[in-house]
Amino acid sequence: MTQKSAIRIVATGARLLTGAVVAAVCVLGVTAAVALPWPTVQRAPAQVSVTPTPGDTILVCNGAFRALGQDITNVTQMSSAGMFDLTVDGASATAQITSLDAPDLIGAAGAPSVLTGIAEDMVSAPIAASESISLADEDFGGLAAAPCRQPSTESWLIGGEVETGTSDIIIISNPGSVNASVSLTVYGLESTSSTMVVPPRTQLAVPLAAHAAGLQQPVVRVTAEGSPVRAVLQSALTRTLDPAGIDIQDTAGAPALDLVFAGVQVVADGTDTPTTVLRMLATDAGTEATVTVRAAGSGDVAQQFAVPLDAAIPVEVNLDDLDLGVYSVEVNAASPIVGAVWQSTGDAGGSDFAWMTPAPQIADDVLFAVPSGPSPRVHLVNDGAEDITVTLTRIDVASSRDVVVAAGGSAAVAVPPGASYRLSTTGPVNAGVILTGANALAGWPIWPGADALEPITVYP
Amino acid sequence: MVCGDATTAKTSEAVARSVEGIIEARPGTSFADAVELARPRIAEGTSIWLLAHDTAPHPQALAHLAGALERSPSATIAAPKLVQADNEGEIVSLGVTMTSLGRSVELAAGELDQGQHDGRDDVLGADIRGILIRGEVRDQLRPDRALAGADEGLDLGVRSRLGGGRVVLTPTARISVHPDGPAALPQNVGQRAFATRLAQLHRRLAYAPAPTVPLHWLSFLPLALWRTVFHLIGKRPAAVVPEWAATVTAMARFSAVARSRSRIRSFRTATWSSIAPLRITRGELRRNLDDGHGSEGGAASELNFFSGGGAWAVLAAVLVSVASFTSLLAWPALGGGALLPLRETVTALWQDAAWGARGIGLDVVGPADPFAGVIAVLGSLWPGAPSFAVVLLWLLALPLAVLGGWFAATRITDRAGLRIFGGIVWGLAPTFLTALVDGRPAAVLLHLVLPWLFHAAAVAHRSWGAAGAASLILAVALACAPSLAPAIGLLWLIAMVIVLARGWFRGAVRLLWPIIPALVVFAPLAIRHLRQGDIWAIFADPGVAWVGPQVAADSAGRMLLATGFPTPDLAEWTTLFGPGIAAFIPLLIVPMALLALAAAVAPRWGAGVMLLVVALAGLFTAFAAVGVSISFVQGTPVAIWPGSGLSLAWAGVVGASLVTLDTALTLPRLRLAAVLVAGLALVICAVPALTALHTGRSVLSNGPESTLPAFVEADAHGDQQIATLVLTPQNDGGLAAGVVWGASATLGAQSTLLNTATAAQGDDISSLAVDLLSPRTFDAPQELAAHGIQYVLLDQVVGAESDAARAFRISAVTALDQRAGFVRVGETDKGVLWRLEAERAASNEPSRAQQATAQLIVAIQLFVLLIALLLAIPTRASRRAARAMSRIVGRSPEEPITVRRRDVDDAVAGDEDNATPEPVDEPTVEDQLPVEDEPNRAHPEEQR
Repeated sequence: MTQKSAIRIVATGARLLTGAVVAAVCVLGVTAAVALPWPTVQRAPAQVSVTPTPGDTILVCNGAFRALGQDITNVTQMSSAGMFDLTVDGASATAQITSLDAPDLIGAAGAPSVLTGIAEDMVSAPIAASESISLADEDFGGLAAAPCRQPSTESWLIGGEVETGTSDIIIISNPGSVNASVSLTVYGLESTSSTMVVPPRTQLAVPLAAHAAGLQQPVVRVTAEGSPVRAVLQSALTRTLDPAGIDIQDTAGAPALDLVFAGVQVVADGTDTPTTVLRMLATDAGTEATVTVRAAGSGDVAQQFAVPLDAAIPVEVNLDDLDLGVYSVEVNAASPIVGAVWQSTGDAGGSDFAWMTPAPQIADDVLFAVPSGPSPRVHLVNDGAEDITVTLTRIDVASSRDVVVAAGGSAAVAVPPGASYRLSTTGPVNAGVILTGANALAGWPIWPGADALEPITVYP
Repeated sequence: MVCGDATTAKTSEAVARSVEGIIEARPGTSFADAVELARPRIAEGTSIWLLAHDTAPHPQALAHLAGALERSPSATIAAPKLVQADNEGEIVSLGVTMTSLGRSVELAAGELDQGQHDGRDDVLGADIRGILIRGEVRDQLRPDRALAGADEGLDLGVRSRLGGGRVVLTPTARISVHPDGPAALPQNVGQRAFATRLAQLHRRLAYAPAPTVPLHWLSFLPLALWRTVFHLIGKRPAAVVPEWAATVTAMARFSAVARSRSRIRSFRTATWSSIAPLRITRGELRRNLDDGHGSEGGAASELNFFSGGGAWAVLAAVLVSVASFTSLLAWPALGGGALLPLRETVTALWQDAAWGARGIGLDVVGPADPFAGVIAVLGSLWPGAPSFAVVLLWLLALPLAVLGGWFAATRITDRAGLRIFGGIVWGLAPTFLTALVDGRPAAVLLHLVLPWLFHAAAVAHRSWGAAGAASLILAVALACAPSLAPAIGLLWLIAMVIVLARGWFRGAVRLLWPIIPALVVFAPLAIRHLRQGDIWAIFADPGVAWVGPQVAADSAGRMLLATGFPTPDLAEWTTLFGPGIAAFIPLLIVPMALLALAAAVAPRWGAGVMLLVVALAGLFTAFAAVGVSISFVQGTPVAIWPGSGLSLAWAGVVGASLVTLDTALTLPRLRLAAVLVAGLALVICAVPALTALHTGRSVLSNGPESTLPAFVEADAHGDQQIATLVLTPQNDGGLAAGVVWGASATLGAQSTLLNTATAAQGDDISSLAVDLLSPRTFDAPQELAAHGIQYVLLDQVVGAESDAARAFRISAVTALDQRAGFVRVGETDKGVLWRLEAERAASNEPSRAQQATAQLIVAIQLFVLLIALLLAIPTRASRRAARAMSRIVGRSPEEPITVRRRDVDDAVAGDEDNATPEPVDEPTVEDQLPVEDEPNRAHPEEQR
């Protein structure tokens, strides 16, 4: 009996000891497993990169410079103040030109035109066109120029003004065959939104003041459903009674984290009155934008500063203390922004101004047309880390020239008016066309052609 | 006669004195052959007494037999009373008869000899051992060699009857027999089944009227199939192969049948109706039938589900469930989370579960997820509106979990209170409540079936019924959570090692079966994934890949997993009280964890340690799962849901806690206190999750009954094969393109073939989708309709939409609006919908090869599942066998014996059998109890 109980005690002791060890191993094992890194298995999802097949190239031109309120009895009526000069060229195909209705425009002259380069065998037919106008009458004075552009479903019009003396008009052209339902969202201290319907093959215009009354520095987002539209902002400024410039402003690109402006001109001393102003809007969330200004020809930083931005509220900053010349401006932010740069020849009567929108990056060949106007130049900006060579080939006359743009630098190249070019580059470049004369200022960025469609990642 | 080497017999003087001669034959010679060999040596006209070496005639036996033949001139055969050699009080055979269908029936086998049958005189036949055949007819009445060892005596009796002779019983002539002699039936179960079945079939062909012989012959194969089903239901899978072997053998032996028939014809003088009175009638058969009542030997361990309070716990869970999910009572379908509607018709549900064209994607033909089969079963429970079955599942989830937990607890404890505790704690598992609140159907189903898997698998080695049930449940569990496969495989291997180490080879054979159905249902999918080169994909969660909340694959995430919570919001605590308070919530799990760890030192430590291994296996599965991202939803990777592993871990923790409570905490007060502390902590822990639906914190929503706009739903009503192209611009500027067949994206139609795809599957729609949105001019409606697509839906990403996605979406709307042949149906809350004005091509008919593959795979899978189902069907015998031994698995001799009256028998029985402690998941020595033979008693035809 004693022996039996002794065995039992030993057995129980062994059991307790083993059990305690097992429990301790469990706890230690789990603790170690929590602390130690575990291997992971990551797979890449099925994805297919598809480059959209190009279709016909459709460019919409404005046709007429609109004058608002010429008739005192009907202040919202618009009439044509003059026709744009059109410069058109195509590389392989000639453009078909058709015209749009402009029912709200008085005067038979000045029907806006649509240029179509018909794609064949799934290869696009690149065409390029631009238009310019120079006015000097009692109501309007100055130079306005813009490219003819493709319609899009979303446009950002940055440089609107509704102060006294300004006469800004949003011009919306629908080259499509169905109605476009267009929403105008105005960003300012308060946002407003309205909708209008643009019938097919029609151009309509609305005064900006009707949508953005009382707003400082309004920024307008134009979204179209049903059919893409071309939206531009036509501006005219009058100081007291003297005309003080006209401009036609194209859509800025989609909101992005980095904006690059090519061809920002400083043509007057901005010490007393600002002549160069950057307007920005953070579309999504508040952020801080870093602005870097570089002079053409050198890669040196002329100015660099940071600007805090609130979500959905436009902000203006002066770019003063700059020597006369051509500059590139880079803006970097942590959340998407849009922006444009206002340039002026001064505040005296008879002066002119122009808004410059951001220049998208160009990697492939692109066509552009230089309109008639005073001393046109092409400003090429390379914000990459390597030198690039840009080749400008005239389409109408067989000649070409190479321009080397240093890393981080830019170059301004004079081109003859009324010429069409093909721009080829060895690396990503941002480019703008500028026209500069006495009290005449215009400019716009060069956009990639329709055939340079971005590949889309599809997750099947 | 000596079969084999006769040297010893020849040299023996004793043998030489008593025999006339020695005939040496091959060792395998059958009894009938031996008789045939010896017959020519016997003088003409002498009677023959058939004896084998295992028969020991009692004194005067021959005199009694010869006397019987002398007394009744009509008798041709005199049969003795055969008794057991080691127990002469037990009758081995005293007369054999047959049913009207020809099955042989022993009249008195196995009964104690109290002289109760001694008055019987006239029988149809007898066991061949020890019979005395009258000399005049001995040439005609030769044992039929074709019978191969069974029913030879019965056959002799029948033939003698037909020849006008009788078989007389001579109970006073006693012969002792051993059960393993050459004239007895084989000892091996399979051989015996073969011999008896072959003899029966052969006699049927030999006795039948000539015109009906071909009909009988034709009926053999269908009969074999029919009897196979009954063998499986009767838990006798070992009898299946002999059944078919006997059938095929009987069908092939034409000459033997002809010989037997001619022998009968040559001797027959009477009609077949003359033997009819001696056949056993149905009434007598029923009286003879031993239904095995009382064979439990007094060790009946009743379930006590109602008297033990289990029913009340389930009822309470119903109330809690209804209170927590009140709004579900009015919902027709459940949405949110990883939930989707089900197909509208049961047919479509089952089509989704079979190999063939998948319900998403273009022309994706391949194996279904096994989970689709589970969904098909679930949906078939409410055939009118299958989606409502999911609502019912959610409403009944809590009570079903408590029920399952209660039954699983019966494998660990006999205490009614602890069983209820086990049920409740299983139902309140944080991972289960999280799955309910977050809408994860696969995880909920897994948690509901896991306790039943435990309940059945723990005794799979004991009985075929449990093995069959475990095999089905395991297939369902793995279908719901393939990520558990490695852990389950490991546990199965450990079980195998334990069973083999103890030498329970029958148990090991039974333990082999449970994994087979799971392997068969997963095989097509695994082969497909292997061919595509990524076997990891087999572990992907089935159903919808959902980017829901779950812990990250870092130390903090694993810490949460170790405390039992699969999401960072700690079963709604963080959302309700903020991270400050929620940080202390894992402490509520500590009592359970401590109880579980204590199981290692509990008296029943073997079971405790095994359950801790289960817990660790589950936990480590969860740890690994969060780092495995193999599923994608619209290009976003989704890690495996770690809650499935946690469910397995929880099973181990709850089981180990019950072991501690049942065996280690012997003081009733201490036990009560521990139960209250652990239980109350879990109840508190569950409150935020159980109130989540009322306070709007749950993602569960009413419906939708379709994920597509109502227009498509109405058009594709009744699961028509109409495809909708769904385009979703992504926040990164990409485009997700998918195709949905039918009226809605459904749970059963989801396929891991597509969810885990790392390359485009089936017909790649990518280029077409991009071209739709590009300016390219082409006949888009025709190209889409050629694929069977009738609608195009432009959807919006779930959650915040980036500027890029919005701009893309708007330009896409514009592009599609401008396409000729695209009729805009309208803008719905599910996206913008266009209908195509083109004649939709009929959906692709599967090719001949695909149809053949589908039929083959479906047939094999159904065949295996049918076997499992037949094995799992409980019979009266199997239920009695389950009652005959303790429900508890893994009792150890060290644990204290409970004093309750009912338990005493159990404990004693358990202690006798369990010489050594053993783990709970694994076999016990109860195999030695009469369980194997138990089912046979209900089917006397299998007995001699």
